[in-house]
Amino acid sequence: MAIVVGVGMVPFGRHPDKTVADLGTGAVLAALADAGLPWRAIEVMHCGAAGAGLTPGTRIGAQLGLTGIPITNIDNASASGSSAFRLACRDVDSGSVDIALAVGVGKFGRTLRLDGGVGAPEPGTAEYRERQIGAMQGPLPPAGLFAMRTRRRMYEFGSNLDQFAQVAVKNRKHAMLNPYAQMREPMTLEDVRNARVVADPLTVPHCCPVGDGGAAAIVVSERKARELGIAPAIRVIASAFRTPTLAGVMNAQDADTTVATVQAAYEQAGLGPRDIDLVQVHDAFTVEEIEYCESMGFCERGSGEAAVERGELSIGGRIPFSTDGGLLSRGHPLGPTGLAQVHETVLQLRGAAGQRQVEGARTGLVHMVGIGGVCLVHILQRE
Amino acid sequence: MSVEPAAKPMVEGIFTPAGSDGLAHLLCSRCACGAVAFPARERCAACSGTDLVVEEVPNEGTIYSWTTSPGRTVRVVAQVQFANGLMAQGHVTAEPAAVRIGQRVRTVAVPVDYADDGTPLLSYAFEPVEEAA
Ligand SMILES: [Zn+2]
Repeated sequence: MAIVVGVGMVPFGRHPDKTVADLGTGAVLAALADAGLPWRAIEVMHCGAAGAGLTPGTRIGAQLGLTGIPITNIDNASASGSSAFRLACRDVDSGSVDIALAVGVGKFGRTLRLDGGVGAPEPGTAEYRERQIGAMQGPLPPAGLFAMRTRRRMYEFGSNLDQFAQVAVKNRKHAMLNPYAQMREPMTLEDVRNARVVADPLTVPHCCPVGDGGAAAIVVSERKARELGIAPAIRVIASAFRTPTLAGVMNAQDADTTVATVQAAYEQAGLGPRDIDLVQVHDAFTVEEIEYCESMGFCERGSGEAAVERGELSIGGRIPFSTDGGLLSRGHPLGPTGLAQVHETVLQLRGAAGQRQVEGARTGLVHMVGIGGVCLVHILQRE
Repeated sequence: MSVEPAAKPMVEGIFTPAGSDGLAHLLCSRCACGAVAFPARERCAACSGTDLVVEEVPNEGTIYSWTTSPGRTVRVVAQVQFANGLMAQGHVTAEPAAVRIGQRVRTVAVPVDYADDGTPLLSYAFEPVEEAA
């Protein structure tokens, strides 16, 4: 099994003085320093980025030194970094290399169209027709779909908006303890209530911010870990990846895909929710942490709101979620987010997470969802 | 003397302004395996089959959930559930205060734009059905 020996980050936020490649190089150098390995020891690199231009990983490699190694660029939306991590682990597990690197980068800039174009599509093209169909269906920002998911839950389970706001307040408290987090100003329930409405009923703090950042992780084979004298080892004991099976209820698709992906990860690891000590989740919107907490088997369907309210998902609670602040407050520059989750989990399993340390953390689960239905789950465990 | 060009859907194949019963209907595909999809597909998501026919979605449905679209004019966008199992998203012709989950809505054709030759272009929208007191 792949063993994580180094993690590194460029703090999430705004970095107008750095290119996408600069952000990736910064994260890789931090991970190399953490592992005590030189760049020239890396045998393969996978780079996750979403809409960050052509071959950002190749540009990062060029900055670090031309070693001729294979470098693959992956765009899986929000799950790009998680996808890079999975491929690095699999390269090591396949026995083809002993040391593999995953990096994720992202920079807020021009908004790319999902079809890859820039600006408005030309009349008469297939892209124009797609745009017009979208206009008929009522185009919404990403927050719109999650606003509908939130309102549906309030209807089905009688929950109230403040319970969702509690996710944002909790994750902000966690982020205030994390020097790598983007949003570290104190935030109260009142602040969430009184903020600008993005998509009724969601206000700004119910939605993750945009930003810039980089994150990286280095994984090695069992053989290499012994050679390097790594102890205790942090192993990647599960890597699961699913896309939707059927467009069922469009409102619940991500939650359904999460159920299938988490189940596959539990089976690989031979574990269940009771064995997990902490979770990093795709909390791009407050409703997601509540839904996925249920999808992962930590509470019954319809009881996620109450679990948050009782503090069960806070550091010190039954099953801490988003200990680094989550997408909502640590930030979400798309490409690096999944690797920031690995970074946080590794610090926690080492017992090196400082004020936000989860006592006795031994097994951590990381979960990312990418637009279009991509879902990845990894489970990391300290020996 | 000029004749006003007849209104037509902004994109063909998404809905019909006047279907078999004279009412507006979304158009969905139905596969030989039974799976329905909106907008209509050429290849089935459930079985990958290509034996699909286009049929009318029931005119009336129920609001599953709703939100508002961004912009200067607040517009309600809803997911509407139909008796044939489909869910479709579209604008609702009502103010937010008049919209609720579980509400019955009917599919209607609304003018949204003009073609270069002046032809009015139609989209579909959902209109709350008056309920008996
Ligand atoms: Zn079929």
